[in-house]
Amino acid sequence: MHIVLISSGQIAIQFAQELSVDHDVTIVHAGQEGRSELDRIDCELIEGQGVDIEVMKRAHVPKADYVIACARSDEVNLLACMTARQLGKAHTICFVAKEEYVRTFGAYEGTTMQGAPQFGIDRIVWPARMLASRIERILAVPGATDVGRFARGKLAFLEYKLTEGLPLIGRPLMEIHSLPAQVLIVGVSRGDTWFVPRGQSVLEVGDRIHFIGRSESMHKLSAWFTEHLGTEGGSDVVIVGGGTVGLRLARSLERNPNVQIKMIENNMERCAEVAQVLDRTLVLRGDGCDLDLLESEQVWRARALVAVTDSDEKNLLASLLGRQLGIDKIITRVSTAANRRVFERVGIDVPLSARAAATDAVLHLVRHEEVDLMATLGDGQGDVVEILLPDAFTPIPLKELVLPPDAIIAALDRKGEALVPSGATLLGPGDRAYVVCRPERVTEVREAMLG
Amino acid sequence: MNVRNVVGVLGQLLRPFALLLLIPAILDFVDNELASALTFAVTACVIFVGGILISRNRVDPNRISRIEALAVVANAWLLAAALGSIPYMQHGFGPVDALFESMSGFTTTGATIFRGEDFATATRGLIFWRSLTQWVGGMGIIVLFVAILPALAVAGRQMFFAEAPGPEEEALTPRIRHTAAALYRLYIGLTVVEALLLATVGGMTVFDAVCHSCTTLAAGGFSPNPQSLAGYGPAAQWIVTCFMFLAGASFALQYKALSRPRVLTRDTEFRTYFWIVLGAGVAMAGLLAMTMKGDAYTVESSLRHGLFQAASIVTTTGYASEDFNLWSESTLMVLAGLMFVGGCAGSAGGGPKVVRIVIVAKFLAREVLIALHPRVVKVIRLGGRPVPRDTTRQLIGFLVAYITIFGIVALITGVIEDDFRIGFTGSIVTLGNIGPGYGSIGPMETFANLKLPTKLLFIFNMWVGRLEVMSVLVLLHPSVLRTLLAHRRRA
Repeated sequence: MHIVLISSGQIAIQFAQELSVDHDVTIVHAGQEGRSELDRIDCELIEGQGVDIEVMKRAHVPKADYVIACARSDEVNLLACMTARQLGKAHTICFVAKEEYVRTFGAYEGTTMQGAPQFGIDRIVWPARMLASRIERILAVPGATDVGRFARGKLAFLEYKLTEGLPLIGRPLMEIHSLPAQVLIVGVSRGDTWFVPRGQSVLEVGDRIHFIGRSESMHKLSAWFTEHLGTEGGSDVVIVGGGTVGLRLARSLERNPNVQIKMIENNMERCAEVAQVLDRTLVLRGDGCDLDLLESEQVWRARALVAVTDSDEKNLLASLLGRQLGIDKIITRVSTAANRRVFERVGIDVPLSARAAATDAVLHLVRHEEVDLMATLGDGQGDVVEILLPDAFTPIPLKELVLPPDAIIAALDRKGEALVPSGATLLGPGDRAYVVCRPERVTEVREAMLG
Repeated sequence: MNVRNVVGVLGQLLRPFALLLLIPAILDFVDNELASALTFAVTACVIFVGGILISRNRVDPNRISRIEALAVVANAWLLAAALGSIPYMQHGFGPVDALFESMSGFTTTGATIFRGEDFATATRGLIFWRSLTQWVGGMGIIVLFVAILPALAVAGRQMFFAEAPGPEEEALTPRIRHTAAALYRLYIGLTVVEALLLATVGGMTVFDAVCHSCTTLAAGGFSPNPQSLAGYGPAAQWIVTCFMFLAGASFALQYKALSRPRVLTRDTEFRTYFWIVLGAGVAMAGLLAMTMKGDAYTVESSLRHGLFQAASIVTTTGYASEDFNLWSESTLMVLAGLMFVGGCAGSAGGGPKVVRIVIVAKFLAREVLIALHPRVVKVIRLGGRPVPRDTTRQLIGFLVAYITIFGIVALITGVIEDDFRIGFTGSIVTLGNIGPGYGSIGPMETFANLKLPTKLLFIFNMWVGRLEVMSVLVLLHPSVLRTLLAHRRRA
């Protein structure tokens, strides 16, 4: 395939690295940003503006399959997509940060958004929202370090980090019977690796365990973990950083009348902007790393602290201070992939990246357009994808299906009824199968299932 | 400020004003009260010709400045009151009494210098003129002229908002003239409906029904009956209660509600206004039933009087469904509290306005929050939209000025009259354009027996209160006065 990237920022470089392995990549760049990294990637560089039709022609947009506009400016992205539509049939994917533009051009669907094709925008990617809703989901489940929902909320995915003393540790999985029914362990992250556990696998302290199951059973699971991890006090949430992510998060948390939100933002003008929109949130002007402020606002009473400023360093410091003050759940935004590892080493439980989630979603879209991505597990090393079994599918018991290694059918949605299958479960036409596998094996899995 | 511009525009306003005087003239002519009819007719002619003469050297009203627009508005009300007092003088009232009654009419105050016997001797033309001045003043003199004078496009816009300076400038249509006309259509419609209801269900004569209807929708309070609404049955009182409530709600909001009724429940001010009237009405009904002796206060009559009086005072109408002077002190305390509220912004009602109370309450809540959390950033919002910092500041300035004027006038008049009730309630009922107060200026009493300086101060209060203080205070600023004096010296 031929893929054109608009912008040469960090996101574009990541796309270029991943996509140039199998596809022809052209980058339209305006400045010298990221030039040294780009020189090490096998892709074509065209200097110019994404809104210039001559530049776009030189970048082979007329015969391109995908145009990904991921510049910092929303306007440039939107216009670049419109320009691309004038030139050919390329699928356009547009990164957007401002909510106004999403309202105008987008409609929510799955992990990415349906765009407005009449304007030439096929998909809209809104990283801030993806991160905000992920944080909101994680906050909703005590103790969990990642949460996803699919099949219209009937199925859920939870990630827990194993700590000392949990009865899951040190025994082969097949000997563990205390977990609720209709819950499946579908993945384990240990250090930098991720794998699908087998019956003989033994869990260790520090592992991140991925569970998939019916939502009701997942409630029991989270109750089970709360019981063993100790309960979290308070109902307050402290948000450090009033940027797009912080604001969106506060707005959705405000819908729950039992949650009291405190937001700490350093910029006075931004404080005023945020305070205009927010209703019940207490907007405080100050530095999230200011211990005096945190103490005088009794931050230690909060149930959770979310650090989502633009600066990784600030987020890290605020999170560590929050931990010091005794807050149980701390969610930290991290922008660069390198920092993420460091964060985990110094004890940040939930480092999340808006960019990573967005790029995972887009990469999946480009690679496997026919399969919908539901969630990513363990730093993008595992995918949960939805595969619809066609009407022509011949029913077959699950145990007779031969899947590639590290792939597992985690759940089924049969005519609106969600279930976790066993080996004897008969797969039939019309079922939606939720399969966990490595991202690079999605095509293989699909072929194995559909023949 | 160019005084010639101000005078020129005022002259243009005089001509339609003269036409208003012809209505009572016709009425008196039909009643064969020829002397009275002639006064109305002659006054009308003189004002009409005077208007033509004054505005002979044409000023383009659309080139006047903001301060000139304010001057036009403030002086238009003074002029209207002065000219409107001529018919009263013809009927034998002294000039100050006549001006008092006329100002009380145009500002929809409803405080009257009529004594009981004056109601019997006055012609129907004069009684109707009393009601008509309130009806015109209710929607605003300027709104009327903006609606009918196409020449006032830009100037009209400035004057429109200077006359009813609510916290927000809100127009229904892009053109201010169409907005003014739309508001008047609604106003006339409501007046006609109420008159019909009062004449049929309410058991009034057609004349009384029309007069009451005019003064209800204006939140005025003049009644052709010396007993006010106490002279009519429960049906009439219930009808008037409902229409007083409408008169105290924003007409612009009601106009929008005609096509989208849900705007009413979404509007913070309207919701607050509704609960204030209902809450205070029910509270007073309860107090009446508990504290008043005798069997006169049944559930229905307590509720009727409670709600009627709450609506009457909050909307600043000033009708009485019974002599509330005789009510228990606890009930009167509630009523006195309501005198400091007023109707909604953009209504016919006077007073500080519900929306200002709401914003000030939010302002105080924010101060408390800041004391608790010194670093908090909070924006005052109304109906989801932020209230600009300037608006809050102006509003607090307004309230301080309002309370100061109330206090000073209350102090002076209280001393002059040697009566606390007259000073305290007289000052707020005139400044808030409510009407009757307590004691010897109660609903069945008269303002005629007050001393001259008291009357003048109350006239000032009515004028300042109707124009929401600032429009007048601006003109009293030394720099404006200096330009006026300089002009006089040049001329």
